[in-house]
Amino acid sequence: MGDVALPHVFAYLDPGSASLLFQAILATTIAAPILFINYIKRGLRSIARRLPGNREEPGPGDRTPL
Amino acid sequence: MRGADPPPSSVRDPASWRDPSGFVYLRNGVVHRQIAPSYAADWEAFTRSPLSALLVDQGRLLPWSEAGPEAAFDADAAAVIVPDALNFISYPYEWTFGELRAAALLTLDVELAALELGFSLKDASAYNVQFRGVRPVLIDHLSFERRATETPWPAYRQFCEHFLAPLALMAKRDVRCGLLLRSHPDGIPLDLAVDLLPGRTRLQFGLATHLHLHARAQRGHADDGAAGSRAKLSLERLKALIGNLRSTVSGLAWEPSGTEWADYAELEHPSYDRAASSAGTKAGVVERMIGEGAGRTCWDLGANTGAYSRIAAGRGYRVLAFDVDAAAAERHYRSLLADGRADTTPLVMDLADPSPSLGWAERERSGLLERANADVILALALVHHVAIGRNVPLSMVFELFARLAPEAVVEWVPREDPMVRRMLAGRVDIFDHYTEAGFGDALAERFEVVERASIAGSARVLYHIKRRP
Repeated sequence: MGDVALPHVFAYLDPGSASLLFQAILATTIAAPILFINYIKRGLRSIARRLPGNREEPGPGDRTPL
Repeated sequence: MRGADPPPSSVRDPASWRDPSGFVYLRNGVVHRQIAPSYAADWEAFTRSPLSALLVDQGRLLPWSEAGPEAAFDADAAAVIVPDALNFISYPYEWTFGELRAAALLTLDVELAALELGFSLKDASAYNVQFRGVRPVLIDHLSFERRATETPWPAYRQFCEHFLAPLALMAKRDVRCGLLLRSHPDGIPLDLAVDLLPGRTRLQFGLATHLHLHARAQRGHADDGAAGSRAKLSLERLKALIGNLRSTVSGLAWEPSGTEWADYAELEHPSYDRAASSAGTKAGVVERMIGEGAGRTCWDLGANTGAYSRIAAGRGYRVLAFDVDAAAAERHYRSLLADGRADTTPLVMDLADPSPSLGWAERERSGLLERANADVILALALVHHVAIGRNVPLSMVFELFARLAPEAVVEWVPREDPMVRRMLAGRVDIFDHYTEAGFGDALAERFEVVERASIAGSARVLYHIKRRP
C-alpha cells in the first residue's frame, strides 16, 4: 500500500488506525465476489459484441410472441 | 465574509465544538450555523453539487437557507446558514429500536448517495440525526467532504459504535441495552459490545466481521497509527462495504412484545387502542379538554401505544409521546409508520429518571427538563404508577408537571381501581395521602382546576389544570 493524502477531517474525527486497516481488508473481502461477477459480466458482454452481427441476446421481454 | 462583534442576542450552542468546520449558535432565538474558512471549499462544492438538492428533495437532509454576512457570529465566517427549525431535539438513547435503526439506515443511504457523486460523510454520529415525526433527517450540513481518491471511510468505526453495536445489543441481548448510549455518548466501545453480545452472533457474517473481528483488530493494532493512515480503498470496495453494513443493519430485528406495557392495550383494556372512537367517554373528554392544537406541542407522558397521542395529533398538536416501556414505544412507532403520520414522535423515557444533562461540562446533551417545550401535557393513567409504583409524593409529581408545561390533562385513578389494587397487593399500604382530596391539595400548590370530569362507567376522574401565574 502506498501513501495516501489524508483529508483534513482525519484530524477532527479519529478514525482509529486499526479500523481503517480492518475496513480496507474487509471491504476487499466483501467486494471480491461482486467484482468477480462484474468482471465476468463485462467479459461476456465483450464477447457478445464481437459476435457476427454485433448482436446481444435479447431479454425475455424483447421476444415477440409467436 | 466579515461579521460584526456578536450581538447580545447571539449565543453559541454549548454542544457545537467538536468539528472545526463550523458551529451552531442562536441568533435572536433562531438556529444559525457559521461555516469556517477551513471548510469553505468543501461547502461550496457540496452546495454546487446535485447531491445537496437531491438529499433535501428526498427528505434526508434538513433544508436550510443562506444568511447574509450580518448574521455571522464573528469575523471568522466563510458563510452562514439557517437550517429549518426542529420542534424538539431528541437523543439516540431516547429512541426506540426502530428509530435507531432508521437513523442508521439513513446515514448509510446518505453515504451511498454521497459516494456516487464524489463525496463522503466525514462522520457518522447518531447525534447528527433528528426525527421529524417518525422520519429521520440528517441535520449536520457540514458532514460532507469531497472524497479523496482511494480513501477509506473515516466514520466507519464511529458508525459501528454509534449504531451497529447498540442495535445488535438491543436485538440480540436486550432492548434496554440502548440505554448504554447514555453512559457512552461517544458510542458503545466495540470491546464492550462483543463481550455483551451472545456467542451465536459470531456465526452471523455481518456481526462477526463489523463487530467481533473489528474489535479484535482494534485490540491487535491499537498502536499502529502509521499503518492505518496508509490504508487504501477503491470506490467499488467502499460501496460494497457500506452495502454490507446496510444489509447487516436491515437484518437486525426485534419483536416488541411480551412486556407488561406493550401488551397492556390489548390484554388489559381491549378498548384502549380504540379510544378515539369512544366519544363521550375518556377519549371524548380528553379531546374536549386539550382543545385546538394549532401547531402547539403536546407531551403525552406514559403514552403506551399512542391512543391518546393520536387524539392530540388529531386536534392539531405536534406530539412527543413518552413511555418507559421500549416495546410499547416501538409499537407506537410502527403504527405511526404504517399510518403514514408525521405529527408524533415516540420516545423511550422513564419519567422517574428522565435523561440528564450529559457530556462535556454537562452541556453537550441537554436533560429532558432543559428541553421542555410542551404547551400541554397529557398524564393519563400515569400518576398512580409514579406515586405508588415509584413512591413519588403527589406534590412532587405536580411540581414536575409545572416545570414541563403551563397546562395539563391529568387522570385521577382511585384506590378502588383494579390497577391500583393490583399495585398495592402484596405490599404494605404506606400511601395514606393517596386520596382524591390529597390529589387535589397537591395539584392546588401549583395549578388551578379548569374542569373536573368523571369518566363514564369508571371511578376515574379527569382534571384539566392550568399552572398558576
